[in-house]
Amino acid sequence: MIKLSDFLGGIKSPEKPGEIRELKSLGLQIDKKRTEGKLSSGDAFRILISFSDLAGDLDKFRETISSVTETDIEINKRIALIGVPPIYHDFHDVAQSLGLHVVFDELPYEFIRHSGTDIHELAREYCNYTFARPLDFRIKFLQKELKKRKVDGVVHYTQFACHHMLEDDIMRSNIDYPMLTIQGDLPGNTPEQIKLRLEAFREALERS
Amino acid sequence: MIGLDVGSTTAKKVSIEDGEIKYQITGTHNWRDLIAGIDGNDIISTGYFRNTVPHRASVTEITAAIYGVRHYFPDADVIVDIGGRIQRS
Repeated sequence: MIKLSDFLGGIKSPEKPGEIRELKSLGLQIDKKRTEGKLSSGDAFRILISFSDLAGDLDKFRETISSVTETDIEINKRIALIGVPPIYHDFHDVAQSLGLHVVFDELPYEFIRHSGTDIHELAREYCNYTFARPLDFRIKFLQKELKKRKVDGVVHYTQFACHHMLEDDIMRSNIDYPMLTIQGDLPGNTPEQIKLRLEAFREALERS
Repeated sequence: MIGLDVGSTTAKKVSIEDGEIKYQITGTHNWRDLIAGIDGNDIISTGYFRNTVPHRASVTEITAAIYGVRHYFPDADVIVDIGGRIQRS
Protein backbone atom coordinates (compact mmCIF):
# COMPACT_ATOMS: atom_id res chain seq x y z
CA MET A 1 0.00 0.00 0.00
CA ILE A 2 2.89 2.33 0.72
CA LYS A 3 4.27 1.60 -2.74
CA LEU A 4 0.83 2.23 -4.19
CA SER A 5 0.57 5.50 -2.26
CA ASP A 6 3.98 6.60 -3.56
CA PHE A 7 3.02 5.58 -7.08
CA LEU A 8 -0.09 7.75 -6.85
CA GLY A 9 1.94 10.71 -5.61
CA GLY A 10 2.07 10.11 -1.84
CA ILE A 11 0.07 11.84 0.88
CA LYS A 12 0.29 15.57 0.12
CA SER A 13 -1.89 16.70 3.02
CA PRO A 14 -0.90 14.70 6.12
CA GLU A 15 -3.81 16.14 8.12
CA LYS A 16 -6.43 14.72 5.73
CA PRO A 17 -6.32 11.04 6.84
CA GLY A 18 -7.17 12.21 10.37
CA GLU A 19 -10.06 14.33 9.09
CA ILE A 20 -11.32 11.41 7.06
CA ARG A 21 -11.08 9.18 10.10
CA GLU A 22 -13.33 11.58 12.02
CA LEU A 23 -15.82 11.55 9.17
CA LYS A 24 -15.77 7.77 9.08
CA SER A 25 -16.54 7.66 12.80
CA LEU A 26 -19.64 9.73 11.96
CA GLY A 27 -20.41 7.17 9.24
CA LEU A 28 -20.21 4.39 11.82
CA GLN A 29 -22.70 6.28 13.97
CA ILE A 30 -25.07 6.60 10.98
CA ASP A 31 -24.71 2.88 10.36
CA LYS A 32 -25.45 2.08 14.02
CA LYS A 33 -28.48 4.38 14.17
CA ARG A 34 -30.18 2.81 11.16
CA THR A 35 -29.44 -0.64 12.56
CA GLU A 36 -31.30 0.45 15.70
CA GLY A 37 -34.18 1.87 13.63
CA LYS A 38 -33.37 5.51 14.40
CA LEU A 39 -32.68 6.38 10.74
CA SER A 40 -34.36 5.29 7.54
CA SER A 41 -32.24 2.84 5.61
CA GLY A 42 -32.52 5.05 2.52
CA ASP A 43 -31.10 8.11 4.29
CA ALA A 44 -28.35 6.01 5.85
CA PHE A 45 -27.46 4.33 2.56
CA ARG A 46 -27.15 7.63 0.68
CA ILE A 47 -24.63 8.79 3.27
CA LEU A 48 -22.74 5.51 3.54
CA ILE A 49 -22.36 4.98 -0.21
CA SER A 50 -20.98 8.53 -0.52
CA PHE A 51 -18.01 7.49 1.61
CA SER A 52 -16.63 5.95 -1.59
CA ASP A 53 -15.40 9.41 -2.61
CA LEU A 54 -16.43 11.47 0.44
CA ALA A 55 -18.61 13.44 -1.96
CA GLY A 56 -15.43 15.12 -3.19
CA ASP A 57 -15.50 17.75 -0.44
CA LEU A 58 -14.91 16.87 3.22
CA ASP A 59 -16.55 20.00 4.64
CA LYS A 60 -19.69 19.75 2.53
CA PHE A 61 -19.92 16.06 3.24
CA ARG A 62 -19.66 16.70 6.99
CA GLU A 63 -22.57 19.13 6.66
CA THR A 64 -24.58 16.58 4.70
CA ILE A 65 -24.02 13.96 7.39
CA SER A 66 -25.09 16.31 10.17
CA SER A 67 -28.24 17.30 8.26
CA VAL A 68 -29.68 13.78 8.41
CA THR A 69 -32.67 13.74 10.73
CA GLU A 70 -33.38 10.95 13.15
CA THR A 71 -36.71 9.21 13.11
CA ASP A 72 -38.35 6.17 14.65
CA ILE A 73 -38.61 3.32 12.20
CA GLU A 74 -41.00 0.51 12.95
CA ILE A 75 -38.83 -2.41 11.91
CA ASN A 76 -40.68 -5.40 10.53
CA LYS A 77 -37.95 -7.58 9.05
CA ARG A 78 -34.23 -6.88 9.36
CA ILE A 79 -32.39 -7.33 6.09
CA ALA A 80 -28.73 -7.50 5.15
CA LEU A 81 -27.95 -6.30 1.64
CA ILE A 82 -24.87 -8.08 0.36
CA GLY A 83 -23.10 -7.88 -2.99
CA VAL A 84 -22.70 -4.71 -4.97
CA PRO A 85 -25.01 -1.78 -4.16
CA PRO A 86 -28.25 -1.87 -6.18
CA ILE A 87 -28.39 0.14 -9.38
CA TYR A 88 -31.93 1.28 -8.43
CA HIS A 89 -31.71 4.63 -6.63
CA ASP A 90 -34.84 4.08 -4.53
CA PHE A 91 -34.15 0.47 -3.55
CA HIS A 92 -33.80 1.02 0.21
CA ASP A 93 -36.90 3.21 0.39
CA VAL A 94 -38.91 0.67 -1.61
CA ALA A 95 -37.69 -2.20 0.57
CA GLN A 96 -38.61 -0.26 3.70
CA SER A 97 -42.10 0.49 2.36
CA LEU A 98 -42.53 -3.27 1.89
CA GLY A 99 -41.52 -4.04 5.47
CA LEU A 100 -37.85 -4.82 4.84
CA HIS A 101 -35.51 -2.56 6.79
CA VAL A 102 -31.95 -2.81 5.50
CA VAL A 103 -29.74 -2.96 8.60
CA PHE A 104 -26.52 -3.83 6.78
CA ASP A 105 -25.04 -2.69 3.47
CA GLU A 106 -22.03 -4.84 2.79
CA LEU A 107 -19.94 -2.72 0.44
CA PRO A 108 -20.71 0.71 1.94
CA TYR A 109 -19.71 -0.72 5.32
CA GLU A 110 -16.28 -1.41 3.86
CA PHE A 111 -16.07 2.28 2.95
CA ILE A 112 -16.52 3.41 6.56
CA ARG A 113 -14.82 0.82 8.72
CA HIS A 114 -11.22 1.29 7.53
CA SER A 115 -9.26 4.41 8.33
CA GLY A 116 -5.99 5.58 9.80
CA THR A 117 -4.00 8.67 10.54
CA ASP A 118 -0.92 7.69 8.54
CA ILE A 119 -0.05 5.40 5.68
CA HIS A 120 1.12 2.55 7.93
CA GLU A 121 -2.12 2.51 9.91
CA LEU A 122 -4.14 2.73 6.71
CA ALA A 123 -2.20 -0.18 5.23
CA ARG A 124 -2.84 -2.31 8.32
CA GLU A 125 -6.55 -1.41 8.33
CA TYR A 126 -7.06 -2.22 4.66
CA CYS A 127 -5.58 -5.68 5.22
CA ASN A 128 -9.03 -6.44 6.67
CA TYR A 129 -10.90 -5.28 3.56
CA THR A 130 -13.25 -8.11 2.62
CA PHE A 131 -14.85 -7.37 -0.70
CA ALA A 132 -12.12 -7.99 -3.27
CA ARG A 133 -10.37 -11.06 -1.94
CA PRO A 134 -10.98 -14.82 -1.55
CA LEU A 135 -14.59 -15.57 -0.70
CA ASP A 136 -13.94 -17.53 2.49
CA PHE A 137 -12.54 -14.40 4.16
CA ARG A 138 -15.59 -12.40 3.09
CA ILE A 139 -18.01 -15.15 4.18
CA LYS A 140 -16.46 -15.42 7.65
CA PHE A 141 -16.81 -11.67 8.09
CA LEU A 142 -20.43 -11.74 6.87
CA GLN A 143 -21.39 -14.58 9.21
CA LYS A 144 -20.15 -12.58 12.16
CA GLU A 145 -21.69 -9.30 11.03
CA LEU A 146 -25.12 -10.75 10.19
CA LYS A 147 -25.33 -12.41 13.60
CA LYS A 148 -24.34 -9.18 15.33
CA ARG A 149 -27.05 -7.25 13.50
CA LYS A 150 -29.71 -9.92 14.16
CA VAL A 151 -30.86 -10.06 10.55
CA ASP A 152 -33.94 -12.02 9.52
CA GLY A 153 -32.93 -12.45 5.89
CA VAL A 154 -30.37 -11.57 3.26
CA VAL A 155 -30.83 -9.92 -0.11
CA HIS A 156 -27.96 -10.73 -2.46
CA TYR A 157 -27.90 -8.06 -5.12
CA THR A 158 -26.00 -8.89 -8.28
CA GLN A 159 -25.56 -6.83 -11.40
CA PHE A 160 -26.19 -8.20 -14.88
CA ALA A 161 -22.98 -9.60 -16.44
CA CYS A 162 -21.07 -9.09 -13.17
CA HIS A 163 -19.10 -12.01 -11.72
CA HIS A 164 -20.92 -11.78 -8.38
CA MET A 165 -23.75 -13.82 -9.90
CA LEU A 166 -21.27 -16.72 -10.15
CA GLU A 167 -20.76 -16.50 -6.39
CA ASP A 168 -24.45 -16.72 -5.55
CA ASP A 169 -24.53 -20.50 -5.02
CA ILE A 170 -21.48 -20.30 -2.77
CA MET A 171 -23.03 -17.53 -0.71
CA ARG A 172 -26.26 -19.51 -0.39
CA SER A 173 -24.35 -22.58 0.77
CA ASN A 174 -22.40 -20.69 3.40
CA ILE A 175 -24.71 -17.95 4.66
CA ASP A 176 -27.30 -19.62 6.85
CA TYR A 177 -30.17 -17.18 6.39
CA PRO A 178 -33.14 -17.05 4.03
CA MET A 179 -31.74 -15.40 0.90
CA LEU A 180 -33.30 -13.56 -2.02
CA THR A 181 -31.09 -13.06 -5.06
CA ILE A 182 -31.82 -10.10 -7.27
CA GLN A 183 -30.17 -9.37 -10.58
CA GLY A 184 -30.38 -5.78 -11.73
CA ASP A 185 -29.68 -4.35 -15.15
CA LEU A 186 -30.41 -0.73 -16.03
CA PRO A 187 -30.46 2.26 -13.66
CA GLY A 188 -33.73 3.86 -12.59
CA ASN A 189 -36.55 3.15 -10.16
CA THR A 190 -36.87 -0.32 -8.68
CA PRO A 191 -38.90 -2.27 -11.30
CA GLU A 192 -42.28 -3.75 -10.39
CA GLN A 193 -41.05 -7.34 -10.77
CA ILE A 194 -38.29 -6.66 -8.23
CA LYS A 195 -40.81 -5.07 -5.84
CA LEU A 196 -42.94 -8.20 -6.21
CA ARG A 197 -40.02 -10.41 -5.23
CA LEU A 198 -39.18 -8.24 -2.26
CA GLU A 199 -42.76 -8.38 -1.03
CA ALA A 200 -42.91 -12.16 -1.55
CA PHE A 201 -39.62 -12.45 0.37
CA ARG A 202 -41.14 -10.56 3.30
CA GLU A 203 -44.14 -12.87 3.17
CA ALA A 204 -41.78 -15.86 3.21
CA LEU A 205 -39.92 -14.43 6.23
CA GLU A 206 -43.23 -13.92 8.02
CA ARG A 207 -44.09 -17.58 7.46
CA SER A 208 -40.74 -18.88 8.70
CA MET B 1 -64.71 -16.54 1.06
CA ILE B 2 -63.26 -16.37 -2.45
CA GLY B 3 -59.82 -16.08 -3.94
CA LEU B 4 -59.45 -13.29 -6.50
CA ASP B 5 -56.43 -13.03 -8.79
CA VAL B 6 -56.43 -9.83 -10.84
CA GLY B 7 -53.41 -9.93 -13.08
CA SER B 8 -52.19 -7.75 -15.92
CA THR B 9 -54.29 -9.48 -18.58
CA THR B 10 -56.86 -11.73 -16.88
CA ALA B 11 -58.86 -11.84 -13.67
CA LYS B 12 -59.69 -15.13 -11.96
CA LYS B 13 -62.08 -16.04 -9.15
CA VAL B 14 -61.93 -19.30 -7.22
CA SER B 15 -64.38 -20.51 -4.60
CA ILE B 16 -65.14 -23.74 -2.84
CA GLU B 17 -68.86 -24.47 -2.80
CA ASP B 18 -70.05 -27.62 -1.03
CA GLY B 19 -66.57 -29.07 -1.35
CA GLU B 20 -66.41 -28.40 -5.06
CA ILE B 21 -63.84 -26.01 -6.52
CA LYS B 22 -65.38 -23.50 -8.88
CA TYR B 23 -63.61 -20.86 -10.91
CA GLN B 24 -64.31 -18.11 -13.37
CA ILE B 25 -61.93 -16.23 -15.63
CA THR B 26 -62.34 -13.02 -17.56
CA GLY B 27 -60.32 -10.11 -18.92
CA THR B 28 -58.73 -7.84 -16.32
CA HIS B 29 -60.97 -4.92 -17.31
CA ASN B 30 -64.02 -6.99 -16.36
CA TRP B 31 -62.81 -7.96 -12.88
CA ARG B 32 -65.81 -6.32 -11.24
CA ASP B 33 -68.12 -8.86 -12.86
CA LEU B 34 -66.43 -11.61 -10.85
CA ILE B 35 -67.24 -10.12 -7.47
CA ALA B 36 -70.77 -8.82 -8.08
CA GLY B 37 -72.64 -9.20 -4.79
CA ILE B 38 -69.55 -10.30 -2.86
CA ASP B 39 -68.41 -8.28 0.14
CA GLY B 40 -64.78 -7.15 0.20
CA ASN B 41 -64.36 -8.84 3.56
CA ASP B 42 -64.93 -12.17 1.84
CA ILE B 43 -62.12 -11.72 -0.67
CA ILE B 44 -58.47 -12.75 -0.48
CA SER B 45 -56.71 -11.08 -3.39
CA THR B 46 -53.54 -11.69 -5.34
CA GLY B 47 -52.05 -10.66 -8.67
CA TYR B 48 -50.69 -7.35 -9.89
CA PHE B 49 -53.83 -5.45 -8.84
CA ARG B 50 -54.16 -7.27 -5.48
CA ASN B 51 -54.06 -4.06 -3.50
CA THR B 52 -56.42 -2.03 -5.70
CA VAL B 53 -59.37 -4.44 -5.67
CA PRO B 54 -61.57 -4.96 -2.57
CA HIS B 55 -59.96 -7.46 -0.23
CA ARG B 56 -59.74 -8.61 3.35
CA ALA B 57 -56.12 -9.69 2.89
CA SER B 58 -53.77 -9.78 -0.05
CA VAL B 59 -50.72 -11.87 -0.88
CA THR B 60 -48.29 -11.76 -3.76
CA GLU B 61 -48.91 -14.25 -6.54
CA ILE B 62 -45.58 -15.85 -5.64
CA THR B 63 -46.80 -16.72 -2.15
CA ALA B 64 -50.20 -17.79 -3.52
CA ALA B 65 -48.49 -20.12 -5.98
CA ILE B 66 -46.35 -21.61 -3.20
CA TYR B 67 -49.45 -22.46 -1.14
CA GLY B 68 -51.32 -23.88 -4.14
CA VAL B 69 -48.47 -25.97 -5.49
CA ARG B 70 -47.54 -27.29 -2.05
CA HIS B 71 -51.12 -28.50 -1.68
CA TYR B 72 -51.49 -30.16 -5.07
CA PHE B 73 -47.88 -31.05 -5.96
CA PRO B 74 -45.92 -31.30 -2.69
CA ASP B 75 -42.91 -32.86 -4.46
CA ALA B 76 -42.39 -29.94 -6.85
CA ASP B 77 -38.95 -28.33 -6.66
CA VAL B 78 -39.56 -25.32 -8.88
CA ILE B 79 -42.63 -23.29 -9.80
CA VAL B 80 -42.64 -21.42 -13.11
CA ASP B 81 -45.47 -18.93 -13.46
CA ILE B 82 -45.86 -17.59 -16.98
CA GLY B 83 -47.90 -14.45 -16.50
CA GLY B 84 -49.37 -11.93 -18.88
CA ARG B 85 -46.43 -9.58 -18.58
CA ILE B 86 -43.74 -11.20 -16.44
CA GLN B 87 -42.49 -14.68 -15.67
CA ARG B 88 -41.63 -15.83 -12.18
CA SER B 89 -39.84 -18.93 -10.97
